[in-house]
Amino acid sequence: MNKSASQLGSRKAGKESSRGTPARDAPIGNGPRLARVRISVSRPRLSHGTLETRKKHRGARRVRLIPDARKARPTLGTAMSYTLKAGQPILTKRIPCWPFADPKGRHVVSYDEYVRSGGYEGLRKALSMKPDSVTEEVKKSVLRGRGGAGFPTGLKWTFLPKLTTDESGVEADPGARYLAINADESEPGTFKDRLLMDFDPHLVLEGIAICCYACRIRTAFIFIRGEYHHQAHVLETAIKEAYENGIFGGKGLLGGTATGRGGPFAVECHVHRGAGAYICGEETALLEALEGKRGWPRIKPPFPAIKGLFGRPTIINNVETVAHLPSIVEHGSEWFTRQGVASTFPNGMASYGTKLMGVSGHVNRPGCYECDLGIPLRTLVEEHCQGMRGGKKFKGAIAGGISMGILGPDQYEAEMDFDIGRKHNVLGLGTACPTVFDQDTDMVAVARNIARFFKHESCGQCTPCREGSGWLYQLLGRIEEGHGRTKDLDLTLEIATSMGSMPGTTICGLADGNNWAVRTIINKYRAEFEARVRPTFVPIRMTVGAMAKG
Amino acid sequence: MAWITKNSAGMKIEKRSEPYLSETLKARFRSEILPRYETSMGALLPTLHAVQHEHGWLPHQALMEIADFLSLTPAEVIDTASFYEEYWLRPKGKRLIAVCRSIACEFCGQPEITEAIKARLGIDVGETTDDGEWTLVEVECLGSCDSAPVMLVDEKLHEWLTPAEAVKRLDEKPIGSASSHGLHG
Amino acid sequence: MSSPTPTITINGVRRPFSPGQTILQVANAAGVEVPQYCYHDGLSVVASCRICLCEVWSPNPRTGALEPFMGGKLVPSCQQTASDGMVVHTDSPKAVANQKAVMEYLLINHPLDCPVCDQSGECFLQDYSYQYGRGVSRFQEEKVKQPKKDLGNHVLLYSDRCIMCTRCVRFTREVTGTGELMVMGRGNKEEIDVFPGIPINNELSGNVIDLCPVGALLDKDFLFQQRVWYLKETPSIDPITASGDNIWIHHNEGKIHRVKPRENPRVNKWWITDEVRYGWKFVHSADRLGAPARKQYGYPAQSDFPRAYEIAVAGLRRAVEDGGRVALLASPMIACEEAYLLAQVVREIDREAVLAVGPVPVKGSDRVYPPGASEDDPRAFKVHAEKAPNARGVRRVLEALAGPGQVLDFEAFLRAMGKGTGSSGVRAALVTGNYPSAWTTPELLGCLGGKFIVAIDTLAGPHVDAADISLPAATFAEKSGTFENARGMIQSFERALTAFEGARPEGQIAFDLLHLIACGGEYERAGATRPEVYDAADIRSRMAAEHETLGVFASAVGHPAPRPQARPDMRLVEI
Repeated sequence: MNKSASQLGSRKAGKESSRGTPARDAPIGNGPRLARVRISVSRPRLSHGTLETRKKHRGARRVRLIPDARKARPTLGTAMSYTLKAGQPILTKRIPCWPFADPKGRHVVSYDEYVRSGGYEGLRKALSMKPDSVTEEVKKSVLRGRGGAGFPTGLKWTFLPKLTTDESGVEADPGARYLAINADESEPGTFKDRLLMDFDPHLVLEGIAICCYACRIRTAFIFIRGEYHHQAHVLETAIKEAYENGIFGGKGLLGGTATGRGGPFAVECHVHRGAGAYICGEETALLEALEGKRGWPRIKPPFPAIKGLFGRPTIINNVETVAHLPSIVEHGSEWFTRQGVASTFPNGMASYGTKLMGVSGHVNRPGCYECDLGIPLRTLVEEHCQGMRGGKKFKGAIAGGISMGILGPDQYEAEMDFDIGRKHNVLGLGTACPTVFDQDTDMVAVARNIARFFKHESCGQCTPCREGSGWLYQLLGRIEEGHGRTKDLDLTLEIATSMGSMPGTTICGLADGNNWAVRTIINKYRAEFEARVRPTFVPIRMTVGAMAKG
Repeated sequence: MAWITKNSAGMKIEKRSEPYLSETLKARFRSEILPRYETSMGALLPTLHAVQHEHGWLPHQALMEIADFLSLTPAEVIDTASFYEEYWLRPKGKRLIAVCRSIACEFCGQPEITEAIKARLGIDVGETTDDGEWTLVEVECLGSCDSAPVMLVDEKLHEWLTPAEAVKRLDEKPIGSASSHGLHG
Repeated sequence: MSSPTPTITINGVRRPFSPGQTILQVANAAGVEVPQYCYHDGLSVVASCRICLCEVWSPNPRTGALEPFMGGKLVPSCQQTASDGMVVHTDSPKAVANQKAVMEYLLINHPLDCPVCDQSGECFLQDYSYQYGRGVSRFQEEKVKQPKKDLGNHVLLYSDRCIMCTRCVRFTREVTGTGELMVMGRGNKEEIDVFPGIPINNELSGNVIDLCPVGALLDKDFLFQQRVWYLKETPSIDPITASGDNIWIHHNEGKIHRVKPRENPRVNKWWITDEVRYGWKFVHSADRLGAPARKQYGYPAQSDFPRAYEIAVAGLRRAVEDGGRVALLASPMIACEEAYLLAQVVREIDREAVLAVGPVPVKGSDRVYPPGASEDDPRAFKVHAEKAPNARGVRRVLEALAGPGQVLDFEAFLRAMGKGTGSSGVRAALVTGNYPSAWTTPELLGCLGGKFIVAIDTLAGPHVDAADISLPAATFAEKSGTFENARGMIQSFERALTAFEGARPEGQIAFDLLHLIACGGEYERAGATRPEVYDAADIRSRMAAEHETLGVFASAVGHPAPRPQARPDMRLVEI
């Protein structure tokens, strides 16, 4: 287990897996093609530090660009100044990502390779602890949900019904409880979970095992969106490997290792494929889909932690969230809180840890980057993504998945952390996957595209969203075509305000997202919209002398 | 009553003697999938996936067989199936092209991709070619925004497309199914 | 000391509630109007129409100071359980803004074809548009157009009028358990439908029409029959089964147009079966008897009441004079009061008269909805196999007169009439019917032969043709009275229509006969006296006073809830 990460992540392991895993033989792999099309570099020498060096470098460390890659892209090569506080990527430890490594070396990490590179150590350590200590550790790390809402994961776990213990300290049987992993990554602009599932499925599985142990859950479902055919297959293969190697299955976690809870703890893990419905990413709609029903979000309360899947206590976590768990357990919460940033608001909740940030749109090097929370958008775009495409000017960026709203040209410096919503008039950090627009982008079309998405994906349960989303799309379509008038613009803004933005007017947050997106775009690029509509002349009738009387 | 525009109650559905939900599939589902869920309805999505995978779409007869298999009413099955856009309740071509039209793709050149494919196949979005080979649809985000524009042909994702490249990809030989629809192995 | 009953304040007025009630239930019970579409007492809560949202403040458990509940979000009152000290506003600017917004959204894809819509006049959309809407639509785009669908034997669906409250879908899943209805598609294109070729024909299907708050689900039977504002409603009781379902008769100008369930949590909850819903048709049957008839030369000939009564009384008397018995076959379809009076008629003529209860039809077996629920479940709805509304009530009344165990059932009656043996002490019989369809059997007809028969019935039939005297009776809708249902509940019903042509309630016929008997059997001797007028309430108190065992008719009769009286809006002024 003392092999260096550079060895593990590089050529040797790659070769092995290319022989071993069927997925790699299938002509599906996105990774290699991705690299081939965009840039041509020779196989890079990975600059991952060894586990030992990582332990030494506790503080911030500068990351050097890989020499080969820099040579290959001389025109774009800017001096890197961004620093990842951990010094090394954590989630993407085994997935080559810029700027640490060339994505060309990506491959599915098999069970063997995963274990060789320190995998399942977090789980081993977790099993030696009491389940509540694991929860406590996660709580102390202030790990916030990576799915969009940023709810503290440890706190969510504590909402599960408490278990009684008898005199000898043995816990009562928890009964049926479920873990549902939200892999329904459908928010336009978001592609971070796919990366993990594509290449390092065991990281996700290890996180699942830790979560199940901490919450005494015996069954986990990974709800993966229907369009992720390849990812579902990779996960299924990995789950099969995990079963074969005793991670999951009847004997107990890690082949029946005795746990801090007393005796082995067995977990079953299954993949459940969605079938093309964005709303199933909403946690209660996801549960409905798992139950085989239409994905209509449920009313809360009762919250899923009390009454979730099949009426049982259920925890729902995002893929990236659980992928953080192995390292948190392995290195401790204190280590985790050294990354990311604290909140600048008094008593604000911190944004600790690293985050996968998928940048798309008009940048030179779109892709998924692992950064500390709190990285300014400008740094993300200018350094990681090597600037705007064609040297054009930054016009705006969807904050993190389209439902979060837009960051305007004057908000280029926005820091990507969970405080972004309060600071920059957007809904929140969301998935932290910005879509960047250059100066030539038609913002009316952007608004229309977003409105169409929400109209298409509205589940149709609540009146305001069902009817309002269609209306909003029709109005924006008309404005885009130039058939709108000023009053239509006002009406559009009103709908984008009344349709759920008054908090609580719909069951779930989909209408809220629609509102934030459309409203922030219209407000921040109002001139562009006004240029598209014809003015409305409203005749005003006045009675002469009326004022004098009043 | 001539103004009734849909005779739902008296509609006849097409039937064939051979069942869509084969006994072997049923047996596999009984042993592998059904035990995972507390209710038989939980297995509805996997069952729909499996039947569609085999037959390309979900005829009404298949839905009735699934309802029967999972002890549901046919209406409950179609209620769920019609909610998810991946389930085809009408026939589609042998191969499906799903072009992503969401934000990153649209502003990185998706409209041209769609146009090129439309021109190549001579069909509009939502249509099937006369030979029943291709169906073209536009879908929302495929989760690969960094490599926009993208399209999904059957189960394979094509990235970094240009109009010319997109058309060329249609000539690639179809691949086998990558996904096993929840059935291990 | 804190008050033992918790209270919430709705729009400034304190309302007590019992724990577990939602805000909307408290408001509904207190008569505070909160707009609501998807909520229904008998169905699960989905909180999807979003119009019942209200602003809620609740006391901080520590300081007791009022704070915005749920961080100031609008709260669905149908889902939020009330807790002590909550302050609810359904008319605050925020709540009103939401109501206006929801109304506008609901109407943008609604065809607004009220002039040709059956629901018009009893439509939630209309009412709430008037009270909560904004009066004009700002929607200029294309409306979503959806088909009109045939869903089943009784149900039509105008999809484009639908507001997707899903009450009907929940009904078929949660109450009948048959699940025929479903939502098809999603977003603003979704629509209600059935699986192709599997119609909604369960025996409670008509209830989805009542559940529909708008004009989407329509009754084929009522389609284009009547504007609802012309309809008058009269509370009544299911006249054809033993369940005693509470119903409204909706009628106009002497014609019933439809029957709707009347909510009664102890009996039928909110529902009725289609059997009851469409079971009123016999009231307007072409076979209704409209005039008395007497047999002449073996054939019935139309007569008038005085003549028919005289012959009837004379015939019954003669039977007794000849040493025979008189029998009464009291149908389980008539009211308790009528059975009482008819029994008095025969006992007036023959103190030892044979009293019997008519045949009690049974169809299938009892069923409880939702399937598998216990009968005592507060949501359970039972369909009775016994297809007569008052078998128990009639027996109860006759036994009070003749003594327990002295009342024959139909089989014993047939034997007493000479079935099998051919010999019988009974020489004359008063036979009542009032069944919704043909009911006589060849055995009965055989037994009636050779005796003096007075038939009192609503529909023509072989026994009417064979009777020496036939008298036209009034159906349940044309009289008042009480029925005792299968669970022993005695419930009163009111008269909705004036009786068909010359028909009279059996109770009135009994009074007429009693009067004639008192006058010695001849109308000439009646002089200025007139028969009493049949009034069910009067007779109930008389029954209770005359027979201790019939005390229940004074103490335990379930009456329809009093209806609010429309008051004239003119002020009285002194001139």
